[in-house]
Amino acid sequence: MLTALMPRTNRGRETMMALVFASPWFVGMAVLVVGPFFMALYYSFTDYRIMGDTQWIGLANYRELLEDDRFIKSLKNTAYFTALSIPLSLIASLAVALLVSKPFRGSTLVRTTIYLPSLFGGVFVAALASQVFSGNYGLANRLLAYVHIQGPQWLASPEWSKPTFVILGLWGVGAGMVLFLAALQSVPVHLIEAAIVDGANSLQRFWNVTLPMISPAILFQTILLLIASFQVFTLTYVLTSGGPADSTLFTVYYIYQLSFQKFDMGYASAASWVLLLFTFATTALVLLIGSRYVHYEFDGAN
Amino acid sequence: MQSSPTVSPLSDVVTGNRSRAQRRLRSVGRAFALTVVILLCLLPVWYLLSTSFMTRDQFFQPDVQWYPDPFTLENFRRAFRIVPLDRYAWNTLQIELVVVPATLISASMVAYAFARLRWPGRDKLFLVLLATLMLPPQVTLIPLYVIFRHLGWIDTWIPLMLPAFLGGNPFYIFLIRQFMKGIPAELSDAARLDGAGELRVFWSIILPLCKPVLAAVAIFTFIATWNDFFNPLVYLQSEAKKTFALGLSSFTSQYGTDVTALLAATTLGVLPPILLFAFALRYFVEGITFSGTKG
Amino acid sequence: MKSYWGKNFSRRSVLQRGGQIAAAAGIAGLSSQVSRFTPEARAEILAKAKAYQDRPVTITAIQPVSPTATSDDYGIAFQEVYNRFMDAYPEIGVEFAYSPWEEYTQALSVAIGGGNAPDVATWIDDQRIPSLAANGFLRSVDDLAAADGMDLGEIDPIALSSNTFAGLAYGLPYYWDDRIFYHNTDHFAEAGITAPPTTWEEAVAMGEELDVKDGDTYSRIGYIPLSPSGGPGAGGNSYLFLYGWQNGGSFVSDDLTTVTVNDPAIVEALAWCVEVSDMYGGAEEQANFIANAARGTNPFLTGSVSMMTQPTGFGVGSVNGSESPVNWAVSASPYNTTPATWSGVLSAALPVGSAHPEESWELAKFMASPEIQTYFAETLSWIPTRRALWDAIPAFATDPELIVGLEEFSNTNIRPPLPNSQELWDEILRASDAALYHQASPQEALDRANEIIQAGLDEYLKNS
Repeated sequence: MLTALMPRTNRGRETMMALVFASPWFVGMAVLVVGPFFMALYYSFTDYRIMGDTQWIGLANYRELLEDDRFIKSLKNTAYFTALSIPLSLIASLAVALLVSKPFRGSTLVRTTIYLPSLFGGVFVAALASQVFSGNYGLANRLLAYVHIQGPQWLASPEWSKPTFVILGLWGVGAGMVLFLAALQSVPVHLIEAAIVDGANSLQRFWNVTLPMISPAILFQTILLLIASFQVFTLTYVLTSGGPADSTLFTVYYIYQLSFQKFDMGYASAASWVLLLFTFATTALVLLIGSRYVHYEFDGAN
Repeated sequence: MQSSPTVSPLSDVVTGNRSRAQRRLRSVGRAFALTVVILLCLLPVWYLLSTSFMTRDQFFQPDVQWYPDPFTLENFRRAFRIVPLDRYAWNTLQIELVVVPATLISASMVAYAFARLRWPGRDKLFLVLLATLMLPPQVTLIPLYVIFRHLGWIDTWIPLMLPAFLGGNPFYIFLIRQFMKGIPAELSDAARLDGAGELRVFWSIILPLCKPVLAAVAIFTFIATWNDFFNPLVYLQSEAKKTFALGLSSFTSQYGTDVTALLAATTLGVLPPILLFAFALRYFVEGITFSGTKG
Repeated sequence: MKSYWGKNFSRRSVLQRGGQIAAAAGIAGLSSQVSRFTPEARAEILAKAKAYQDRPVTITAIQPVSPTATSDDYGIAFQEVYNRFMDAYPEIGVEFAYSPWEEYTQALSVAIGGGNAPDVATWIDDQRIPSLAANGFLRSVDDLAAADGMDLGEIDPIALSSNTFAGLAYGLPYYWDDRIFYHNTDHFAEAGITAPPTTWEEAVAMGEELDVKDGDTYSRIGYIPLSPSGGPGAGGNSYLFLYGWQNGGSFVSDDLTTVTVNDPAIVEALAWCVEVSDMYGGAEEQANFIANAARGTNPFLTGSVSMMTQPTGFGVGSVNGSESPVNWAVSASPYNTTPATWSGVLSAALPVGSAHPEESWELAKFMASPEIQTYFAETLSWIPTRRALWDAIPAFATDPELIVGLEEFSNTNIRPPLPNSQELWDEILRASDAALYHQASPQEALDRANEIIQAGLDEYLKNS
């Protein structure tokens, strides 16, 4: 009898119901996350090529990674891209959010317009970018030529390929803007007024009131961007395949190549674990720094 | 720089005549900055749209071509000839038809457990849920591929659909949970007193109130699924099963790409998310604003 | 540098001969080329294909060409071959599985790896076969041939050797080609040049005469041997392999155990390629040139490049099929110390995991049979791997591309069939790019490539 299994107390019943409601997530965690994570860890200690046997080789994959020029280059590329794209994205999306935060005639239309590029999936951005950033004949350089600037070779240049990716990321600034808009709207008006009474100018008000109040959103957005930039894949895959001269060889793309072009699954698993550790370390670092500056709650307003 | 939506008249107390001019200057500056931002956002979109209707001869003119002259649909015709865009679109829609409802139901169930039920370990597990947002999916890629391979699911849509039944993206759970937390406890308590079971409270009381956030999640899910490239790339090989985003990536050949046709196909590819977004804009904005960002 | 969406695509620039043919089909699809198949003939083939139904066994054949794309001559020809096969084998049905070239080899290997293998891969490049075989994706055909009484010796030994791994053949070659030199005859006439170059030096000198400048930028480039990622670019689909051989270099020792891609002759060849590339402003500038001049296709087709080394069939298949065909003629590829060209081979191979190996073998054998190779030669001007057939095909005595191409077979090379052949290819491309972009000297770039390829090779040698 099922009812016999039901706990008698209210609290117990609630727990039971909660487990039922949350069960999809528990199953998902087990099947799609935790299980695969440990499988990947196991594979990383093996020589596993999908068509052959799996052999335990201990730390050999990790040792090989240390000497793998391309892997190290991919980490450097990823780090460079992350370090360049996150601050720029944060500043740009916050600036845009501040620009449109005050309601004005047509502000919804403006916000929607700025959000529009965020609706473009990676493949579509890539298709468009392939023509916009196509040498001197792409739209970008033709426009620059109007103002007598000789644009770079963008995607064809090993120096400019990563910055071009950053620019493509900035085009999606609307997603960050939406987040900051929500945060800005939750800044209490009376705080701003108090600051005005205290004679703070707008820059001081922004720095001392608004910024602390939205700092959780900034931290949150930083983490989202961090994770996203560690995972940059589609643009590389469709647009550059890692070139020119490995300049857009990002780690996830390299892992993909190792697993699905070379079918070196064990080695690829090791690479993915190293990437995971890097992601954790960087995220932890950001959280640590963030916790010093992020203002979580506001008491004493009155 | 004003960050508050409702600006109090107090500001006039402080600001004198001198700064009135300053403020005018500032608003001109703001208008200018906004114009630049909007141009940067729209120019590529206009370029995409106009090029889709251009002849190839015009496209390859040395100057910037601002609008199609003559106007042609030829690019779209060629795009459909090069790859079966209609089939790709239909495939993606079929996947959406499963993924979107499944995500809505499973994510809101999980969110309900986290938002409106008390149970031991809840808050800790919620942190775990948030932490899974940070995991690079590439780590689980190989094991999942191996698992799906053993199940014979490679080159089927199952790997693309399965996660939707298991809560979907944790971010959606998070959004719905934040929204549900904002619903007064009295509502469900009253229903429980009337003898409603938990399922009923969930289905008849809470879910109907969650419409805005559910709409937002539905749109997010639709767009994410439409734009997804990585998973279809790994799991789908047959032409007959490809999604739109995946199909578009093979729009090239060694001797190059029919550029204007590619851009025409791209225009078609970005259309569904944009139309959907425009259509449901109200829900979208509400859903996000209500949820806030502090959690 | 190929003109796809972006630039310097290592994945897509791994476009070898098979890709080129597939692409030729694609490009023909862009234009109103006169197909070798009338619409009626097409319709008839497709209708016939539909009529074969309910065979006791149905096998899936995968290839990067499609029977339904109008003006894809290869796809419809393949459908005709399958029709003939189904006539000859009433018990077996063939299902046509198309996969676009850019994804083809990868989709194929992911499908095999995923336990979802097609029964026959009817279109695999020589370069891919040893790698796929060494990784356990393909089944050897020797035992099947022996059991069937088929004499593999009838197939050209060089073509066949491109498919070998550990002494066994892993595919039946039904097509091969070699690379010859194409020049734009109108450009030549304009510049008063009467004969095509025979040496590198002559080629570069003539190229300079043929260049056209529009202000600071080139609107036409005569000749560039190598451009980034080896794509068709300004330099043709010729890659460092060609120039290495033409300079007397050798990429691997004869016993296939020692990698020598940093052979001084090859380093010198790469240095020369870089030198010429730099004369034209370097790798980035060429990317720029091609983006414009090629109009999304091969710049030879648009008359933006005057001379190019390309595989046989380029003229008839691609140039004549382009929007406004340029006039062209062919000769042997100019060389430095050693007359050399390079052959690409296409084969039918059997993926591991097929449920119907015997039936699949029958189809592979059929593809390489005299009947079908003759059909390909007559319909598509493809060169049979059965040399015995050459004399019997009238067009081979009159078609200028084929005349030059057949002669040049005496100088031909194939890429060494290493178990890590894919890595060999990738690293050669990577080294070429590194040198062209001046991120490393030719010596450094090729030293590093040598080290990586040798390490990969050693791993296989150790395990066997």
